Amino acid sequence: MEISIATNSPEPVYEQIVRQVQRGVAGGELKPGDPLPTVRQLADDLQINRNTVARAYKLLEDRGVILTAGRRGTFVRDEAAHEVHRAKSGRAERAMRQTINELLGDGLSRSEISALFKGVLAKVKP
Amino acid sequence: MNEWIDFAVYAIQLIVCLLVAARCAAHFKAAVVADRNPDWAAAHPQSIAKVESSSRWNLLVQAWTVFSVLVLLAYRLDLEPLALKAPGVPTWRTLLQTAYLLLGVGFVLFGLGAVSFRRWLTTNVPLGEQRSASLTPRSLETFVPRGLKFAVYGSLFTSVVARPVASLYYPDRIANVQGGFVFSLATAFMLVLAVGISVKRRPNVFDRVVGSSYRKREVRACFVLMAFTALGELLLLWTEIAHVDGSRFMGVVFSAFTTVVLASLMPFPPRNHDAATPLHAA
Repeated sequence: MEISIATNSPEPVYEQIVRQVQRGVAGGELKPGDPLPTVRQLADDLQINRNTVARAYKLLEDRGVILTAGRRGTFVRDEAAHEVHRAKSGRAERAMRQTINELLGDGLSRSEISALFKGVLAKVKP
Repeated sequence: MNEWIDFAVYAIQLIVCLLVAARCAAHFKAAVVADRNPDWAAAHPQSIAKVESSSRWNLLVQAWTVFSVLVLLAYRLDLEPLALKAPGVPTWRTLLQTAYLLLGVGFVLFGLGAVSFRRWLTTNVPLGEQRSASLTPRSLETFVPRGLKFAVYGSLFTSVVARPVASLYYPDRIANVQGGFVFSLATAFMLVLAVGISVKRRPNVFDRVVGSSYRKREVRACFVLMAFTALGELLLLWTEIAHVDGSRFMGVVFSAFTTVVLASLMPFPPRNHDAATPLHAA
């Protein structure tokens, strides 16, 4: 799998790496047990600071996507897809909760909000 | 063996390793700029044209190659100046030593040209903002089977220690033990280092033009050279023990073999090569 970064993007480079690795896991391009390159290799290939890649790997490890096994290397965790899905669900739930609270504050009823959500969901193309 | 064979092998080695290599490298100058920053390359066509037309180092290396071949020819025809004549030294040995001396100077010229271009590149072309890399880890086992790796490293180690060990059993037959050991050790170290660099190095323009198989070819070429060096050293040692002078034959065969291996690593760009295509990690 290939990843691309843009150093002129407003999104920090380490977050671009995290996002693309998570997308690879969610899309099945990176499977449980797949090895990842060393921090040094990825940093050299992308011509970025090693600390940036190390930070991305640390974040992925904290999120349960990858596992660093000392000298053996870094691997995609068995539960990585589940963790990525859970993180995505968590983000979606937070966004929905915030929107619902705003709509309730505007005076809409729960049934109206539910109907609105269903209507919008039906119109959104996959 | 006819000394024209010695001359032909060393002349071809000089031509391939210097003249052909320099011409091959010159083809990739624009592509190297585009790999570093495709946007800059597209925005500065005049600079790219200037880089492509600049051939000072290339011409210098080519001139040195022609001079070197003429020097070898002069030695072969016994036309060298009296001051350079080495009485008692056979022509084949003079050809061997002179060819490697001239090749060494040629490599220095080649290296200076590469350093000069690299300096121009880093000074004038900013690093591109869009970069890509593969998430596949690179290790030696990716390119060479584990068994073969241990077999070649083992034979290389054996060839390095063989001379000092053999000198203990045949002290009267093995000459230049320390010098031979240091030379073998230095050669082995350089080849092992070359393997490490080939595996670890960042994807370059050759990987883009040839594809991901280029790195595999590079690593395997280093392994072939390691195996051949080990075999050559052991054969040379055996000829010394058997009181047979095999250094001439080994010198010619080694030069011919390394020339073929190095030539196999020289990629030539396709005719419709697009220099502005971004680098794909290999």
